[in-house]
Parts: sequence; C-alpha cells; structure tokens
Amino acid sequence: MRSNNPPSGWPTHWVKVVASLFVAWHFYSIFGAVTATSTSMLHPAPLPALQIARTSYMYREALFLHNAYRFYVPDPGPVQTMWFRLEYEGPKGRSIAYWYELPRRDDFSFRMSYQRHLSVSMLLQMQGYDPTKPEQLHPLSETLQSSYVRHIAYKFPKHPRAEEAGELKKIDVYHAGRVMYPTGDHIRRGLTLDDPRWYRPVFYASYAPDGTKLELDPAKKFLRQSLPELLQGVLSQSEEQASFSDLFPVTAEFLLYDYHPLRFEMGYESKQALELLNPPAPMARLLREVPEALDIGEVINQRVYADLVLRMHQWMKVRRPVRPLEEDLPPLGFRPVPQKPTAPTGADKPPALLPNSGRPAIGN
Amino acid sequence: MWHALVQAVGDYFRTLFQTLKRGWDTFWFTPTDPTTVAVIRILTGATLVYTHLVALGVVLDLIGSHAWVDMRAIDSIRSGEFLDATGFRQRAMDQNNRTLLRETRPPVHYSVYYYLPQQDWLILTVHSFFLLTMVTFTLGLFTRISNVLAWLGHLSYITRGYTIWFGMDTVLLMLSFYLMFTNSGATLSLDRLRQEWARRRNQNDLKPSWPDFFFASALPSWSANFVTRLIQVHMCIIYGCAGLAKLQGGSWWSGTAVWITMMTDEFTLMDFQWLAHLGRYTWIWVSAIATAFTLFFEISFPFLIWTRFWRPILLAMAVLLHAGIGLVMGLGAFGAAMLTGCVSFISPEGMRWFLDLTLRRKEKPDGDRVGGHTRHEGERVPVPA
Repeated sequence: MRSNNPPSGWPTHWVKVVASLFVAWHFYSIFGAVTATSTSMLHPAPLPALQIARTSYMYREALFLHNAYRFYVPDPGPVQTMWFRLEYEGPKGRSIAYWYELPRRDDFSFRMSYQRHLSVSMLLQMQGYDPTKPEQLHPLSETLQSSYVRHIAYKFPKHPRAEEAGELKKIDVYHAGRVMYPTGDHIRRGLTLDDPRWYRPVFYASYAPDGTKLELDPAKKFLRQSLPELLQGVLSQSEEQASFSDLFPVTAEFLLYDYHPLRFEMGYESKQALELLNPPAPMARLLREVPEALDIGEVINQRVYADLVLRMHQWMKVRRPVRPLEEDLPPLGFRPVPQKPTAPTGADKPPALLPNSGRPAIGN
Repeated sequence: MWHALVQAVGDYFRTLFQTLKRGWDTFWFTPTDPTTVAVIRILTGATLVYTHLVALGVVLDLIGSHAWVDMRAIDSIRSGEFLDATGFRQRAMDQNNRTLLRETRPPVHYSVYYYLPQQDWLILTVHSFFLLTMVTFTLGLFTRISNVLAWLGHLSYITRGYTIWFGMDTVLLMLSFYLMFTNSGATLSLDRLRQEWARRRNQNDLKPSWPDFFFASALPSWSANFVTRLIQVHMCIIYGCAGLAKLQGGSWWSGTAVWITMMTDEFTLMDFQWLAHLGRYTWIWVSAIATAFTLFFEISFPFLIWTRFWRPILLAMAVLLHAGIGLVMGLGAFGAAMLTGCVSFISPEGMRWFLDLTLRRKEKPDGDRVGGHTRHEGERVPVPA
C-alpha cells in the first residue's frame, strides 16, 4: 500500500499526478504553438500541427503562450515603419500638411519606448494581405490601421507647427521599409546604408480622422499608384531600374502638393516650410542630397511631377555614383587602354533645372 | 516458447515504465534549495520594473483611452465584428472558404484594462499599481501575491497594447507565470528577512546583520525544482525552435544573416559599415562566423545543456550571444530576459557559492556548509541536474 507520508520536501502521490498532468498538457499546448506557425508562404505549417494546435488554442491565448519563437526567420527582414500625412485646412482654400513617422528614434528618450513603437508598426504589417482580396490588408490589420489613424487624429487635432492651419481633414497612410540592406560589396561601391534609395514607401490609403477609409480621388490615384508603376515599367527596360527608388515619386508628390503651396502661395522660406511639414527622415535626407528639387517652379502639373521624379533619379545617380571595385574590372592585361583626358564636357555634373522665370521650371 | 517471449517483452516494458517513472519523479519532484528560483525572481522582476518604468512617459500612447489600438478596435477584434466590418466574412463565404474564416478567428486575450472605464487617470493609476507590485515582487515582499499581480500586470499591459509586444515580453510572461508555482521569496527576499527576524527575535539572537537575514537559506522544496525544470524545458524549446526555424532561411545558410542584422539601422546602436572597408572578405567572414555561432548555439542548446561538460560552455555562449544581440540590435532587455531563463541551469549550490563569493564576501562559521550551502537537519541531498 502506498504511504501517505512522502519523504521530507517531496510531494504526495496525488500532487505528483496533478503536476504531471499539468506538465503534459502545458507542453502539449506549447508544442501546438511552435509547430502550427507558418514561417512564410513557402514554409507553411503542417496540417496535423494546425489541427493539434486548435485543441489548446484558448489556453495558449489566455496565457499569451502563443509565440513560436522564430526570431529573425526565415531571414532577418527589413524593418517596416509607417508614415502618416496629416492634411489640415489652410488659408485660401489650401491645405497644410504635417508628416508623422512611426517611429522616429529622436522622439523617444528610452530605447524600450522606441522598441514598443517599432512593434506597433511591424506587427500590423506582419499580418500580410487579405487572402480574399489581395489588394487590401488583412482584416485584422485593417482594423488596427483605422485605430492608428484615430490615435494620430487625437494626438494632432491641430497642426503642431502652423498656427494658420485649421481642422484636420484627412490622414494618408504610407507603409515604408527598405528594399534590402546593403552588403559589404554595396558599401564598398558607394551604396552606403544612408542612401535614401534603399527606402520603399508605398501609399496605402486615405482615412477620415474617425478612421473611416476614404475613396481616393482619381488625380491622386494616378499620381500615387498608376504613375509610379508606369515609371517603374519604363525603367525596367533598362539598367536604370536598379537605382530607381519608390521614394522619388513620394517625394515628388510631397514637393508638389505640400511644399509648393507653402513656398509659392503662402510665402514661407524653404527651410521654414520644411520644418513645418516635418518630412520623414529618408525623404529629408533625399532632399538634402538633391536640393535642386526644392527649386520647383510656380506652375505644376502631372508632367512636372513625372519630370521631377526622373530628375531626382538622375541627380542621385550623379551624387552617389556606383564605384567599380577592383574585382569588377577585367584581369590586368585585358583592361582597355585608358584614353587621354579631354576637356571637361560637363557630363559629370547633375542636370540643372531650367531657370524659374514665372513659368513652369520643369517639364517644358 | 511463445510464453517466454511474451514474458520477456512484458518484462522489458515493465522495466521501461518503472525506469521512466523513476526518472520522471527524480527530474520533476526532487526537492531543491530555492536559491536559483529566487535569483530568477529578482532578475525577472527587475526587468519587468525596467520595462514598465521607462514606459511611464508613453504609457497613454500604448494603453491609454486613445492609444494606438483603442478599445473600439479591441472590442471589434474580440467580438469578431471586424470580420464583417472589413467585408472579410462575406468574401470568404462567397468564395466558399470556411477554413479561412476559421483560421482568422480573433485571439482570446484578457486584460484588466479591458474592463476599466476608459479614463486616462485611472489607467495611469492601475499601471502604477502594477509597477509597484513588480517592485515588491523583485524585492520579495509578499512574494506569492505580488508574483500573481506582477504577471497579471504585464499580461494586461501587453494584451491591451495589442501590437506593442516583442520576444522579450513572451519570455518575461513565461518566467513570471512559472514562478507562481513556487514560493520564490523563500530566500533572498524581504519575506525571508521578516521571517528570520521574527524567528531570531523570539530566540533573542539578533546578532547577525540584516544581509544575513536576507541571504538566509530556505528548506529545499519540490516546487522550486518543479519550476526550475519548467523554465529549463521551456528555454530548450525556445532555443531549439529559434535555431531550427533559421535553417529555412537562405541568409542563415549563406552566412549573411548577422550582417543583415548589423545593417538594420532601425535597431542598431552603432554603425558597422566600417567592417566593409577592412578588406574584400572581412565582413563576410565576421558575419559567417557569427551566424554559425548562433546556429550552433541555438540548435545544440536543447541537447548539450543537460551534460556537465557542455553546460558551462553553453551558458558562456548564451552570455556572448545576448551581449552581441544587445550591442548589435540594441535588444538589451530581451537579452536580460533570456539570460534570466538560462540562470535556471545554474544549480542552487553553484548559485549560493557565487552569491557568497560576490555579495557576502565571507564564510559563515555556523552550520554544516557543503559547497557554500547550509544544510538543514533532515535535508536530502539534491540530485544534480
């Protein structure tokens, strides 16, 4: 017969049974969590694991034990951030914009707070797209994104830097991330980490301040969706595509719709206008590299826009040339004989804008 | 002949069952000194206090009435209404895809903040209260109850924030959840100090100093071992899954994964581009070695950590790995949480010895000390892990 008095410090038989059952159930549910997660579309979770995981779903979720512990898999990927363009009513029926970047490191005193805000952006985009309607975000992300918009609207009901701005009209949401991170060879060729061309901001949707999704007006739709695709298509026929960045169209739109009215219709100085608009860091960096882009004329149209995008592309190619490395060149003895230097042709200079004399400076 | 064969097979399975049962009992229920779980409590609590203290400045952005994820969104997600609001349910039904609908069911999360009136002062007060419980949990004051409240506070914070969590939070929740199954304040705690003070006051023996009361050892308990084992097994699962899943990625095979993380300037604490200029192959060699190190450590951890020879090496590698992640990715708190989990692999005797060596700096003359640990009358010698 089993003794009811276990040795000192040992549990009784029934305590052992209960504890053992708990261990079995607990690790069974953890097993469900770690096996029923798809790493990517190419690495889906096995169906039996999904079915096993369903049996302990409530337990895992309630205790927040649902992590599959797949850190940086299948590969460490680009960090996804979000840009919000807040549009306020301005004087003379115009709009004044303010850009908010989630997250911007300088906004946080503590690393942990920054990390939390990075998660806010990354976890939304990690859900992917709606399998029933691929052009739309996952329904969970859609819901979260509306909430983010309401938060932004609550935080900035008035323009934080322009007193003459009126009510908040709408909020445009962009998903921004890097195309990829440079390898050591990229860096040695001059394509360093701070090159703005690595960034890929993509316009997602416009929202009312209460989080309702708005229909995009056709002109903006053409600028934000059709034209960038068209330009990409044209450039894909040549080697140019490699140095083209989705940051160019977004910056061109920023210049024409946000910067231009402040500069030429409300009389702000260039620096003042930029401070007021608070462009996201990669965009601000691009504008520092190609300050000629700020010198746009007073008349704007869609042709100016396309021209500006292509010029930014050309300017960046000159400003940040890709240097050939020793290993890129043919072996010694097979290299072409260097030509004698000729008089400077000006080909190494960035193309200048036409003089601004009260008519469209670009596009004519 | 058949009878003998059946009997041999039966004997084999009987012996197997008995051996497994004995092994199971020894593994999970052997009483041990609670020093290791006490240290885990202190480290877990300190990390919790840090994460919640530095969040005070942005707490309303994360869990306030107008947080990034507001209660309107939370209610919509919890009730499943978001499936209709986004038109997803209708489209899935139109496409006759019921599996998809089932897979997209909303998570079942709970949070104290879900049931609070959405007033910022109240949310701040509750957050501060939970922060206080995390402080008492760290110090070991009313440890059992403050353990439950600290866990509940962190769980509520994470589930209310909804998209604010990352790997560190799951590890902290795991540790604080397991610690609830034992009295982690049995030693190295204010509870222990109070107990020891009361006991010695009754005996008129108040000569030893306060630190002696705080560091006073406790009776071995099976629950201390049980919790240590839970954490150990869970840590093996974490590292094993993290390592094996990496084998699905091309950059982990090509050796460039660590380089990519070094270039992730949204995370990094310093610029590592200088490595590229040290030579044509330097950056790839550095990355490949660090990648191989990570893979070897994570995949081998669940197997080698149980052997006496490899355990110190793997624990040293864990320190190196998480120090590296902290330096490169700036994930110091994540490293602290993971290393706290690794502490479970240090035996209580080793932990006592280390604490005596580093904090107390003197040997107590009284008691039968074995390996730095004062044995109690009737105490069983714990089976080494």
